[in-house]
Amino acid sequence: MNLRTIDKRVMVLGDGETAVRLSKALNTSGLDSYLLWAGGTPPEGIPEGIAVELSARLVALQGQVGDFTATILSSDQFIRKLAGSVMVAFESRTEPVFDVATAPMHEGVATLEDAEAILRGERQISGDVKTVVFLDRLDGASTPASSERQFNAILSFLDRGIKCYAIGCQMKVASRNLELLYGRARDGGCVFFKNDFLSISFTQGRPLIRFEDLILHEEKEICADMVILAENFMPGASLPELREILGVETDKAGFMQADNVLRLPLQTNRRGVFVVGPSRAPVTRWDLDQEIPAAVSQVKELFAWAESFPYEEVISFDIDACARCLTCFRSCPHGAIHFTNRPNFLALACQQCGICTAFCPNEAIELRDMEKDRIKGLIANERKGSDSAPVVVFACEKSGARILNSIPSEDTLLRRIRWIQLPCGGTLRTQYLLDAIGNASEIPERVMVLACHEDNCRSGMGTIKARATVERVKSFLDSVGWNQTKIEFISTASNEAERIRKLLAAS
Amino acid sequence: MAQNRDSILVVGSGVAGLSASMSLARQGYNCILVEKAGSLGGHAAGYTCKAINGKCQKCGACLVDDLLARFGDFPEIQVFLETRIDRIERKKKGFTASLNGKYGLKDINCGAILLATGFKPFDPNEKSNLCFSSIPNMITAVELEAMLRDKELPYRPSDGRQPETIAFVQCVGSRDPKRGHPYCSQVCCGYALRMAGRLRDLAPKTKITFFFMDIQTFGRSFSQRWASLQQDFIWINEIPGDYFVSDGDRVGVSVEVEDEIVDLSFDMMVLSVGMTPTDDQLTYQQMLDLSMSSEGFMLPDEDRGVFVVGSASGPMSIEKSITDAAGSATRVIAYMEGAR
Ligand SMILES: Cc1cc2nc3c(=O)[nH]c(=O)nc-3n(C[C@H](O)[C@H](O)[C@H](O)COP(=O)(O)OP(=O)(O)OC[C@H]3O[C@@H](n4cnc5c(N)ncnc54)[C@H](O)[C@@H]3O)c2cc1C
Ligand code: SF4
Ligand code: SF4
Ligand code: SF4
Ligand code: SF4
Repeated sequence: MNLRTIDKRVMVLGDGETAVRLSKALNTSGLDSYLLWAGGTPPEGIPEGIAVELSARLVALQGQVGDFTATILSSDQFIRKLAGSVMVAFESRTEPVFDVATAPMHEGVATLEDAEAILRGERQISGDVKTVVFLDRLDGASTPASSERQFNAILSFLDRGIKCYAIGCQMKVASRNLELLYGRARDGGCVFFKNDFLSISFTQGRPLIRFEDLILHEEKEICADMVILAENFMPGASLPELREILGVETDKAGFMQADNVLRLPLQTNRRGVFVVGPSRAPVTRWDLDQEIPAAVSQVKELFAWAESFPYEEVISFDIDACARCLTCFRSCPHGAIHFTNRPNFLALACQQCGICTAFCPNEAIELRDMEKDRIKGLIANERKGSDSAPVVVFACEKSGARILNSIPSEDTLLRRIRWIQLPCGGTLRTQYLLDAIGNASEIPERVMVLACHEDNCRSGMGTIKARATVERVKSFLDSVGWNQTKIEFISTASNEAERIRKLLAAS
Repeated sequence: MAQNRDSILVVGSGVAGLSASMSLARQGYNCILVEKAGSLGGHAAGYTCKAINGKCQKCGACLVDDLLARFGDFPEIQVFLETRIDRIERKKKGFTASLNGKYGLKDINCGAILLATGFKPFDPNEKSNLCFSSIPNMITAVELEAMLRDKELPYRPSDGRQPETIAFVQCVGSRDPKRGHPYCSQVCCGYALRMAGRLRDLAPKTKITFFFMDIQTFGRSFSQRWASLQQDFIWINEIPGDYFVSDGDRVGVSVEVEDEIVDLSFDMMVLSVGMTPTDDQLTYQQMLDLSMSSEGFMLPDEDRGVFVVGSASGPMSIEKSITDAAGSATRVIAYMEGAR
């Protein structure tokens, strides 16, 4: 086999432990890693052989897996680096939970970070501390990552003979060994209360906490020497800018991975750009211990895939039809179009969603096997069969087509259906739908589009685009008074065969 | 390129075993996949989609279909369905495993073993107060998953009618150190809330009650969703102690509400069962001389070529099983490279 030449260096972006551990793990497994370090002093524990760029910030990333070119601002100088893959591995920011205590804080109120500094001996406690109250988030939406820190701090305070209380609503224990850690804190003497409301006042310089114990239904009052606020994990400060530079999705909180299970474990919408650890989501120690070696496997698998990727064009482009309007460049969800004086399609980055082909105003782009004429032919040919086919279906290969493929060929249901597989709902063009109705002697009763559920689309927006296309064609047909064909958009997943069968049988 | 290397034996083809064997195969290693069931996919292959009104709820169940679809690209992975392992012998280098199953008896050599044998859903018969076998309309969440996948709608085992009131009981067989389950199963809050949402979407009149201690996991969107979830369902912050048949075919429970014991009844009850070690675990521990984790699951012996992936090592979701499998692949390869 003729293997592609792939650059196998991995560029790691970070500012803390995650990035250092990741670089080391890549290095040990035989990949060259290059650390783009945000800080001005080199991290500790970096072995020789890992290049580190200090005070470095990525400002642009072009290219595709196996062949990225990064522009980096390093100590006021622009430099260029080549890499085969990029891994984002910044630490998160923490933010104290101010459910009840408001900033500026009283000296008797500390954050978990302060408490950890005290435990490390980096800070002194003022006065004699005998009783401490830990406050968790009271809205019930804490995370295992933050309760893990809290439980560890409680255990250290208990070790020093300090009396501990912890108040929270739904303290999280859903991670490896976390319930056991909670049990150790409780058995070690920490008293846990469940509550979603309390008040703090200060008497003689000491915090006084009043609340109702929801389990025993009693009013409680604790006078402590110190109140320690739990902390939420927030996306690292550099992520908002970095996501713009990389063109990658984030979740609602701003962590650099969409809330889409198809990106799991460590992927982004841009192939070859990975996100690891606290840049991806709030993670526990256990999570991080899995994610670091997982990143190594993921990138090696991707390089192996890229090496064996054939030198064939998956997209055909008609330069004469192109108006250089940049629509394709803007709509590509995978960063697969590099625009010079024309669009260039990056074969290894393209995920064949077809969104550019559906958006291009001049029909200058075609996905292989999805050419307009071929689809037209498919619709027409399929209809020449002996049975009449009152239902025409366009089905995404990931969801609808998997269901249709699983229907046994002897099933009579299939006789009433003609279906065309799309690589993604996003490939659906207005023209396909019009052809399905107009391009034959026999008019279908129904035209259905079966694409993935929203947020479960590989291309993020393919299914939204398909729905919009269906709506547009529907209102067009309404406006011309066409009522012989029902056009429907139905979202589904590959495990919904029963639901889709019922819908199809209803025709 | 894989010829000169020893094979890697993967036991179990759930999300974890499938992901691990494909990861290893992509990195150039030969894998032998042994599965005791008649098909691949493990537990998750029987779960329902939990999308509501056309929006994915991120349960991850369809990822197993994705894995199975991609598995077709790996004809080089040898698969033994309906096969178990009778014996494993340690060699000077690697292991010899005796397979026994559909294809007869066969000895195979391998350089490392990945145990991806998964979990067992908690068996409610182990908790006698649930009276599981004598209450017809009490089902487990595993049954509800399958019901929704295969029939789309819920129905009562006693008469096939659609229930109008449903109660979910959380933490069944989890967070119970006294019975040997000193852990939160991590997935049952998420699957129960999502299935409840789906039920309401399919049959909006269904009234759903939750008996719970606290809600642990739901995913990235929990903080935005929690307020509306509290509106959608009835929440009782208590796990009932007594369960009984009421009005002939309904499910009754006694709970303490403001210092008074009251009886409540429902058309159907769903037990959110947790994840427990499999029945085979002990055999494997003995065969390979493995210890048990403090949560009661198998511990690996990675320095001697035995790895434990996915929920065989402790409760975890589909998402975590996939991450764990990719991570284990790296460690297995490091071991194989070192052992050569
Ligand atoms: C009711 C319920 C609902 C759930 N819903 C969700 C959900 O919505 N989302 C989510 O993320 N997680 C969910 N989970 C958790 C999910 O099931 C697990 O995360 C996932 O199945 C773990 O995969 P696994 O490969 O580790 O194990 P399994 O799925 O248990 O697979 C193990 C495989 O190994 C095989 N095997 C076992 N022993 C042997 C042996 N000795 N020899 C050969 N083969 C063997 C089994 O047959 C099986 O195929 C749910 C769990 C339950 C109980
Ligand atoms: S969308 Fe079409 S016309 Fe516009 S730049 Fe891209 S290929 Fe050219
Ligand atoms: S098919 Fe999709 S991924 Fe490929 S270039 Fe077009 S929009 Fe981008
Ligand atoms: S992740 Fe779950 S809810 Fe979303 S599409 Fe897949 S099966 Fe359905
Ligand atoms: S996930 Fe929820 S139901 Fe399951 S054990 Fe944890 S708290 Fe209980």
